This record gives sequence, C-alpha cells and structure tokens, in this order.
Amino acid sequence: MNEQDIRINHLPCLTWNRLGVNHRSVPVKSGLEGAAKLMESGLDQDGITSENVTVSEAEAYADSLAHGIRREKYVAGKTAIYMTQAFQTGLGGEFTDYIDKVAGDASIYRVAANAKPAKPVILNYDFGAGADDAAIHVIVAGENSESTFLINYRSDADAAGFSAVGTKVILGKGAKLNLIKVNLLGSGFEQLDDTGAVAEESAVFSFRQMELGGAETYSGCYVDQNGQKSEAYIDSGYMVSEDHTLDLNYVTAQRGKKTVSNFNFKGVLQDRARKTLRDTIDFRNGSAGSVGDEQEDVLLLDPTVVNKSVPVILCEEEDVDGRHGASIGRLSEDMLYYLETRGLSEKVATVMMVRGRLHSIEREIPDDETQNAIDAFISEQFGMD
Amino acid sequence: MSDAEVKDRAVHFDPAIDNSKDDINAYLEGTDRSLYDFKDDEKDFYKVKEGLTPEIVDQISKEKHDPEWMHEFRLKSLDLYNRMQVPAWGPPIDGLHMDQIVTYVRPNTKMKGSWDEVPEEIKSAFDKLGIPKAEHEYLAGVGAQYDSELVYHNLQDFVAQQGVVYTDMESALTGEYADMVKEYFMKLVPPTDHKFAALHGAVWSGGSFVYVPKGVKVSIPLQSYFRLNAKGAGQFEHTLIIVDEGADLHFIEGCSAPKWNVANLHAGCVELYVKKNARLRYSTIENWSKNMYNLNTKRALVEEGGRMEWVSGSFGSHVSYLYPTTILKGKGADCEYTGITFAGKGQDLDTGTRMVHIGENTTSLVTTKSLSKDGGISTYRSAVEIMPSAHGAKSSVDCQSLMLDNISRSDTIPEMDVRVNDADVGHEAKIGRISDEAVFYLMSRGISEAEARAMIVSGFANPVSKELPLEYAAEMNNLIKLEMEGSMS
Repeated sequence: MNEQDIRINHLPCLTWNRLGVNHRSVPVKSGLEGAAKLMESGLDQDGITSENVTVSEAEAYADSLAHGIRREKYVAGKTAIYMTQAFQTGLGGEFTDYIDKVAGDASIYRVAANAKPAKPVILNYDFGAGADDAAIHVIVAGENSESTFLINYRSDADAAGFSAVGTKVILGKGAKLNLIKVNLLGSGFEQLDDTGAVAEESAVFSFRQMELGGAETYSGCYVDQNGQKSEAYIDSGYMVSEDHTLDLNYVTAQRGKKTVSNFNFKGVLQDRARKTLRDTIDFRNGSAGSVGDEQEDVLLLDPTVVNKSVPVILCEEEDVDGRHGASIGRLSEDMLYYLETRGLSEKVATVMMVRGRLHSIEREIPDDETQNAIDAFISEQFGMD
Repeated sequence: MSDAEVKDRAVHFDPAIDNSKDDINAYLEGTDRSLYDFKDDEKDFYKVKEGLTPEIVDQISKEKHDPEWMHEFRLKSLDLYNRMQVPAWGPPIDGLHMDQIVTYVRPNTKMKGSWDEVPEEIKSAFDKLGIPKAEHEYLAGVGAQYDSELVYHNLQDFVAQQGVVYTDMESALTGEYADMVKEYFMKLVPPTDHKFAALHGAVWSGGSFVYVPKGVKVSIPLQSYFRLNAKGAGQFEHTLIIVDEGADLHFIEGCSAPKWNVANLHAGCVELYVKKNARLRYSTIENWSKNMYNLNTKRALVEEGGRMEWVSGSFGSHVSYLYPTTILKGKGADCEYTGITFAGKGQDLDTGTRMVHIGENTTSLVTTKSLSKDGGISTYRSAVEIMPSAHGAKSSVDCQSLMLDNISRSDTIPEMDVRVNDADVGHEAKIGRISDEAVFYLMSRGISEAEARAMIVSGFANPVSKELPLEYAAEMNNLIKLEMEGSMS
C-alpha cells in the first residue's frame, strides 16, 4: 500500500505562514481494500431512490446540477488561492482528485420533489477490527423536499484503519436537508471526511457533525449559498483525546440576497490532543440583506492540549450583518465545586459537563441507537463503562 | 458575476499583473489632503542611486559613519533580504520595485536643537504640520525626521534633568549609549524575521532612541514626526525605546508625505522594551500619502508587571502591512491595543495585532475598528498565542468593521492558539453597515444625510480617539472627516 501527501483544508484567505493554519498536508493511502461493511436503511420510503454509478458519472452528475457555480480564481480580494474546484468542498481539490482515484464506485441518492420521508436515510459504515475504505455520495434533494441523511462511521474501539469519504449535496429550490455525520472510529484510524453543498433559492441545508473518534481526523464542509434566501446551519461537536489530531475547515459562501449562515461549534480537548478549526463566512457581492454568525466554545481539560481557532469573516457587500465569537478555556471551578458539593466526584462532574456541551449537537440526531452509541463512546473515553 | 467582471477584478488584484502606476494615478484623484500633500524642493539634497546593492549599503554606512559592527550588520541583512521571499498572504506589493526606490536621501542640513537653525524650507514644512507649535504647547520633546535624517531634536530641560535620554539613533549608536544600542538593536525584530525587516536592517537611517531611567515618570508625551518628501524614496527610521523598571512614558509617532505618481516605501522598525512594573503608551497616527507602501514592523517586550498600550490610527498609504506585536514575557504583564483603520479609494490596509503570552497571569485586551469605502480594502489580521507557560492568561479581542458602500471590502482574519488549559480567551467580531434607522433619526432632527453618516462614523471611531491626547484626537477626527467628505463629493 502506497502513501502520498495531499494538501487539504485551505483557509479561503491566507494568513501568516508561521501560524500553520493556511492548509494541512496529510498522508493518504492508495490501493484501498474497500473492506468496510455498509448497512443502509430508510431507502424503501416513498420519494427516495438510490443508484450505484461510477465515480466519473457521479462527479459529472453533481457538477451538472451545480450549474450556478463557476470556477473561481480570485476570492478575498487579495490572494490567489486554492479554488480549483467547480464544485467546492471543505477539504478541497486535491482531496477530490484523490478520492476520485481510490473510490471503487459511487452512490447517488435522490429525494423527489415535494417528498417528505418520515424516517432518516441511514448509512452505517462498520470498519470492524480495522479496514481501509473510500466512498463517494451524491445527494440530490428535489424542490421543496424535506429529508434527513445520517452517516455513521464505526469500528472496534482500538481498531486502526483508513477512511475517506466525499459527499456532495445539491438542494433544489425550497428543499430542506439535514445531513448528519457521526465519527465513532477506533483510536488508530485516519479519517478524511469531505462535504460540499450547493443551496438554491430558499433551500435550507443543516449539517451536523460529531467528531469523536479516530487518531487523525480531517473534515471540511463548503456550502455555496447560490440562491437567495438560502440558509446554511453548521453544528459541530467534537472531543479529541490522547495525542490525536482534529483538523476542520468550514466555509459558507453567501452569494444570494438575504441568505443566512450559522455556525455552532462545541468542543472538548483533553490529554495531548491537537485541534485546528477554520470557519469562514464569505459574504459575496450581491448578498445584500444576508446575515452570518459563527460561535465556538472550547473546553480545555488538560494543560497539554493545543487549540487553534481561525474564525474568519470575508465581506464585499455593505448590507450584511456578520458576527463571530469564540470562548476558549477550562471548566468553571465554581461549577465543579458546586457539583462536588452535591456528592459528585470531579471525574463524574467533568463528564457531566462534557456531555452537556456535546448534547446540544447530539440531541438533533433523529436516531436513538446513534445517540446511545455516542453516549457509550464518551463514557468509554473517560473510563466510565 | 460574468467572466468579464471576474477579469476586471483579476486586473485589480492579480499579483502577476503590474497595475501599480495606473492604480496610483487613479487613486490620487479624490480627497483634498492639501494639509499633508505639499511638496518641497530637493535642491542640494544628497541621494544614493536607486536600487539596493552592496555598494549602496556600503555607501549609506559610510555616510552615516557606522561603527564596523553596524556595517557588517547591514551587509548581512542585505544578504538575508536577497534570499527571502515576499509574503504570499497579504495585499499585493507587486507595484513596489526596489530597483526604483532611493533608500537614502539626506537633506542639506545637520540635525539642529533649535527650530530657528533648521533651514527655512524644511522648518516651513513642519510648521504647516503644526509640530513646533505642538512642542511648545504640550510635548516634553520632539524629533523631526525629513526623508532619511533627523533635522531637529530637542528635549525639554526638566525632562532631561530627570535623566531621560531622547536622541537620534545615530548619536546613540556612537555616543554614551553605544553599548546599550548594540545590546538591544534589532534583537526584538531580527532581520531574519521577514523580508522587510531584513531590508530595514540593511538601509535603516534616522529614528529615535529613548531611555527612561528606573522610576522616572515622564508626565507629558515625547513625539517623533516622520516626513518623507522625496519622490520615489524610502524611509527606514529605527525607533528604540527602553522604559526601565517602574518608569512611565507616552510616546507619540506621526508621519505624512506628499503624494507622488510613483511608489514610495516606508519600512520602519520600532522596538520597545518595557521593564518590570514600567508602563509605555505608544500612539501613532499614520497618514502617509496614497502612493506609499507602508511595510512597518513594531514590537514590544513586556517584563513582569509591565504594561504596554498601543493606540494606532491607520489612514494613509496605498498598501499597509502593520501588526504591532507584544510579547508578554513577565508574570502579570499586560497589554492593551486600540486601533482604527480607514481604507478609502485605492487603499489596501492590512492591519491588526499579535499578542504572545508567555508569562503567568498575563493579560491582553484588543479593541479595533475598521472602515471601508470607495473600493478600499481593510483587513483585520491578528493572532493571540497563549504559550504553555502562560498559566492563568487572559485575552479578550473585540473587532468591529463598518462597510460604507458595496464596492469595498472588509475582512477579519483572527487566529487563536491556546496551549494551556487554564487560560481564558474570548473573541468577538462584528461586521455591518451604518444603520438606516440611525441615519433616519439624525435626519429627522434636521441633519443632512452626509452629516449624519459622518457623525455616526465619528462615533464609531470614538473608542480610539478618546485614547489620544486632545490635539491628536482632533487630527484623527479631521482625517475621518476628510475621508468622509471624499466619499460624499
């Protein structure tokens, strides 16, 4: 099995190189075995169809639907940057090129116009004791449809392996789509999870992500808000332990009038964990009346963690309202003391606070089994089986 | 956006396209800045050739009677400069051609201690800028630099009697404080730091040296004013300030230049040492002309219990890279940064700050405002770095941006790097426009729309202006008014 380095998670507007946040170079594998088990459910509902196609067919199909998007070279007014994709994604062009080569095939999921399936479509990837795999999904939400897709990545607790997934989402006019991704992989995994979405007029894209597992996790999402009054909600909960790495890149490009973007990040770092979060609101010319908000709340449990946060706002439109806020620190001693006076040990109190922090993301997952798995995973991380 | 529009933007922003001269000529139309834009004759001035070669550096060193270590330092810096890359992350500086920049211009006078002895045409320039009047009314000392050399330097007797040293860098380099200068010069901003720090190391000239002895509190400010008159020239002044234990100083820096239709360059360097329990306030109103590439470096090192205060107003320049940096080394060291940037037509002002927390219980507070109008680009760029040793550190950043039209840009690019868990780091940013309701309210009180917008902008800038001495706050408000008038005409 060969390895190569690719550059991913490009900050849309470069900053000082020595900060080490402009992009990330990561090793990726080729010649994958494709051994993860995929269990799908919810596909038998009215208005939902799926189809296995070749990678090139899937990419061409996604690009053809993203007709409003053009290849860009100049963003942020000053720096020629990595915008090599016609259909932009969070991890970027080198990842798309990579996964197109290593993924065996691809799946297209369609939600018919006006369809509102009651249950989520669930894709469970089980890597068992360890496997290397790559997958490509294209999800097309028809006009005025309402649907939820939940993608789970799981393995045995100590398993090692490699996972690369690319997901492209096209939301037609008025479509509402919840895409949820939950990473509960073992402590030896490298995971690359890439998402790109195009939202047409009045479409609502909600992206929720729980990044809890894996040794090295790289994830990104780029939402092109092409249509006026489109909305994008990105909620991410993460917990990073041991000497693991989490590297994230989220961007909303707000092009249409009266668009909305909202980022909400809740994180916990412990041991010698290292995490980088780039989150960018990009108000393009023409996005009059748009609003954007990004908030991050990071809990640092140990003095050996490294937390990097880069909350960016790019703006070339006057009539917008953009905000960001970040709060980074340890648990409140007053709160811990209060809980301890109520008979809870420091450890139990800490886990309670961690759960509380992640619960705001977790509770939006419409699948009890997944929520239980997340609870169990957090307990295991703190040795509280 | 059509392909043609994309191409138009590309012409404006593509670093590969040299559009600098056209841009500068176009941008020089506009705001009336006659207060700052007057030009003086350069008759009998001494100049080196355009460009940057070892021979030119030798020539500057010889003209300035450098000690040998400084001569070697310059040549090593030049070597570094030639080996370093221009930054890829900031505004384009492709219109800056070093082979067209004159790095040393000496007016036909030596430094004087009395304005009466300064040649009339140069004195007249500083009179127009109000410097002698300011000195007389509310400053403890003044240094006035014209092109590459100081032409005037004076410290009031009562301050000198306290043991305060305020002199030009050249005198300090060879005089009583030579050892101190050698110990501190470009140690905080080494030439290896970046390409324009290396350039500064090679061709620096002028600037001020200040030493405030232990426990001395200078009750009224010192000021250095930098005037770059020569067409196509660079100014590379070096400011070195040491505020010893328990001492207190307010230092004000001002600068201006007339407008030319070719690029000028400012690559100064400011090194500030704030010792134990000392306090230093460093205030700047930067008002370079709009053909200026302002690639300036400022850095402070703060010891235990020390306090550093930056007040920074950026109004001029075609392109600015300016990020005053504070290293909070000692336990309980503290820094407050208050800044405003106003980018108008043809300006790409990339400003911000960097706070490095090393000591325990260090604190930093950043408050910035930025405005963009008439196609101007303002970027707030920052980093807050909390090192593993900075237990109990606290940092709070608040940056607000105001867009005055939809042909401008405003970007906010902060970074936080936290490596200890008992730190408390907060960051807030907001970007938006002038509220229609506020304008309507003022107009309903009989105020014109233009005046209403100007009043709102002045109010937006108020947190910065209130940190300045009255006379400088008035100058800043006048600059804002000029820019607003430019946008209304």
